[in-house]
Amino acid sequence: MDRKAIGDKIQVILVKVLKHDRFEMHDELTATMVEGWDSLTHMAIIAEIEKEFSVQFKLKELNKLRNMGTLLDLVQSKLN
Amino acid sequence: MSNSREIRLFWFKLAFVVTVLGLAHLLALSVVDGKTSIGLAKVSGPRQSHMIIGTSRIAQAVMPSVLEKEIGAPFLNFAIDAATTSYSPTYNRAIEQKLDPHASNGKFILAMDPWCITGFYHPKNGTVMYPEKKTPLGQLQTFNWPLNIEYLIRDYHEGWGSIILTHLRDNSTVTGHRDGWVEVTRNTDEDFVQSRKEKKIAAKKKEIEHAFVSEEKKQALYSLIKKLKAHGKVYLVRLPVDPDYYLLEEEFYPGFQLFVDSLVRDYGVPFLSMQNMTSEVAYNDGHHINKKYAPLISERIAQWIQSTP
Amino acid sequence: MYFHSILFAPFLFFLFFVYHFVLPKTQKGQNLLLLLGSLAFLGLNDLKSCGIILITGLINFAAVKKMSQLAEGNLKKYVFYLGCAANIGVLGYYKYLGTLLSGIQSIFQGQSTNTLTDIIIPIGLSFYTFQLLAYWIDVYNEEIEPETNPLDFGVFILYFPKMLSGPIELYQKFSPQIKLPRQFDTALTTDGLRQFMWGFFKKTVISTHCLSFYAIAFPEGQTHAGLVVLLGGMLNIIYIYADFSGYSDMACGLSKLFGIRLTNNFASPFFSTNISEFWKRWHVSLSSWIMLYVFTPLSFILRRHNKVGVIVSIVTSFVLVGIWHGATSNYIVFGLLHGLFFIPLVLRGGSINASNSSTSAFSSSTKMFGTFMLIALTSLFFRDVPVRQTLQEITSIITSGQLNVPTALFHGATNMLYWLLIIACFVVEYIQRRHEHALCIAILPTWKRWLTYAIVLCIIFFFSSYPSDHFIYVQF
Repeated sequence: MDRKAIGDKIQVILVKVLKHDRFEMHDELTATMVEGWDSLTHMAIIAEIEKEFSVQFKLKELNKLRNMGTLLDLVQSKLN
Repeated sequence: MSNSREIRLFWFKLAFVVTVLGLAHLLALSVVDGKTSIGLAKVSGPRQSHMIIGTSRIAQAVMPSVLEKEIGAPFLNFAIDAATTSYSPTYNRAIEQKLDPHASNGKFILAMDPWCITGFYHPKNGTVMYPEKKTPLGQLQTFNWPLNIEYLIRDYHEGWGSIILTHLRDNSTVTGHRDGWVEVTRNTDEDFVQSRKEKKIAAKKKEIEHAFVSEEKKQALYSLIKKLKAHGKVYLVRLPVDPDYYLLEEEFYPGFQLFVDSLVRDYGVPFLSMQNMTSEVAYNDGHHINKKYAPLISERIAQWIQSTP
Repeated sequence: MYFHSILFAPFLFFLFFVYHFVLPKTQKGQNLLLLLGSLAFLGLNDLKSCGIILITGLINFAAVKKMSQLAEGNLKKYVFYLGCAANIGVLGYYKYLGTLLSGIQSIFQGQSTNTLTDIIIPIGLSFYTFQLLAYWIDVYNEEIEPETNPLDFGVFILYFPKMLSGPIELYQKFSPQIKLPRQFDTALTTDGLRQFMWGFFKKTVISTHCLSFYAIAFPEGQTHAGLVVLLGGMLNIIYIYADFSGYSDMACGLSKLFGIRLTNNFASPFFSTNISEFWKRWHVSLSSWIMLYVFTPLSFILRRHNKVGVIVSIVTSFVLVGIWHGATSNYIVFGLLHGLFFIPLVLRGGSINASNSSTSAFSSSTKMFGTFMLIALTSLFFRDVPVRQTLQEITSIITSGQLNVPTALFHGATNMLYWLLIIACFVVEYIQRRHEHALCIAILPTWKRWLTYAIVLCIIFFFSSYPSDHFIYVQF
């Protein structure tokens, strides 16, 4: 799956969990820039991504995430 | 990284602030008086040959100026309060530091009442407490500076600016005189006195729940008497208190008189009970005498000392 | 000897002067001085604590280094668990054993008279232990390389500005700062002195007068009822804040004199509009520690349980915050309540408070006030008072209907002045809320800066009070 397609699916998940679409998808996007994406919703988003792509993350991998770009890379590496 | 001009400016500014603060504190020191701290005068100045020893009751009741007029010897009232100066090795150390080691004809008036030899248990864990060790007097290293700055630092729990404010204000109710007498001014209105007395007795009853007659304090008293007898004469005095308060003391330590009798017998020191004066005087709270009657009490003690061989 | 005691001033000046102007500017020399200074500082406070911390520190240093050299596998895992357990054990021995034993004893004897309850906790042990736990975990997870230099490690754990009551520093944040020689920087030093001055003001003026007001409103040994409980809660939380944030400002300010930045522990917490925001700004070094090492792993494990998982994680985390303060039921209830306060936020889906949509100044100040009152009342559990009594007091606000506020609090010019100072303190903190500390005034014109110094120093000189020599958080 290419990055664009992964990004689109993650966008749908974000809208579903956060119940709004007031953000633009790009590689430099961070959680603090998205309203409602905080420590209380973060793991729900992660769980949804795991379900959508049928992958399993490790906590160590999540701790290394810095922005949307690194998240896309991580998902992509899991899929290949 | 700062350049040398910036660093020089920094030091200049710091020195300026420190100097101003230093001057402000010197100004505060220059107006230190009896209103600043009641204990300060007691631990300032030279060593003494004649002393008044005990707790707050005697600190407020016995005036060295009156004694000096009658007896002709300058006394220092070296009593502070029960937490600091009930009999204990800590208090003995302070007395020794303040006593002129060459005194041979001294006179020492020691307060006698149950509270002077009462110890307390910690209300929570039941261990014996030694509050005197943590007091400014208990920790003091110097006793004879003309103005005891060490004591001031330990005892004064406010910014030194308030020394100046207290000095300027004229509403102080507690003043420590140079000779150690503590002058307490209270409203003498009967209702006030009555309510203060009730509060005092209630508080004391609560305190008694964790109190006991302390063998350690008795031992400290014995060694103090022995020590002072080597420098002159020791006089034991029980000051008058309100009859209700007296009752409380009797209840707390019924054997107190027997204890005093044993002191008189074993150490050959005279004892004066002034409880029979209780109707002649008035109290602030049933426990401390009203300052109006301090001269009378002092005079009686002086006369007794003069008439005791 | 604490930061506001008179002996500390010459000690600090000596250290500062030698550090920047006498020693050749080498990394090793400066760190050695910091270590010796810290040992002296700690030793003067409590020699026994100093010994315990030095010894356990050395053991930790060696053990972590050894662990990191082991190959990935079961042995490494066991060493890691053992190391963490040992640190928690030491903390538990000093901090919780007494409470536990006296609890057991009171069940059997009806009262506690155990001398073991007198075990004195080494100064700063809770803070110290959390720093070490984070270090163990991060090295184990290969987030960081273990420290190889015992001197630098010693400075990391013993550094005197943060020794007494934090901030809890992470190794990866603290350590890079002491790996290079530090140059004297007048801007940073001046900023540190300003921050120190503000902390000193909060500690010696605001916190002490709040405490004396609190003692008047809430005399010890009584159960209170009615509106006065509300006032008691407010005074209590302001007292805790002024005391602990005062300490933290002093600690961060001092540290800047040595060219080292510590975590800012408080970011105007009383101006939060909900509980989640509050905890991002209150005792930040503890709350972010709990976030990193408790909440995140726990909510990761429970991520498939949706909101229930988040709630379980958050409540557990806050109960732990409570226990960190002490193992008595009042602290546990304190933590539990704060955890429960998060539930509405979780159910609503994060702290979406439409901050950029239609929020009027009125509604946000109402929320601020509501959050503040909630925290103020919860702070009543933060006292050495049985839980049942506090519950009774809080319910009495509504049930008793008494409007009994002690008028003595508002009598006399002096008391009014103290109220004014308390209000002024928070006005200044509100104005400066976006800055690192309230006296970030480097951009002001010279005369305004010096006027500020003069006012703050005058207030300290005339109205400060030092009833006791300690900070509340030193006991934790």
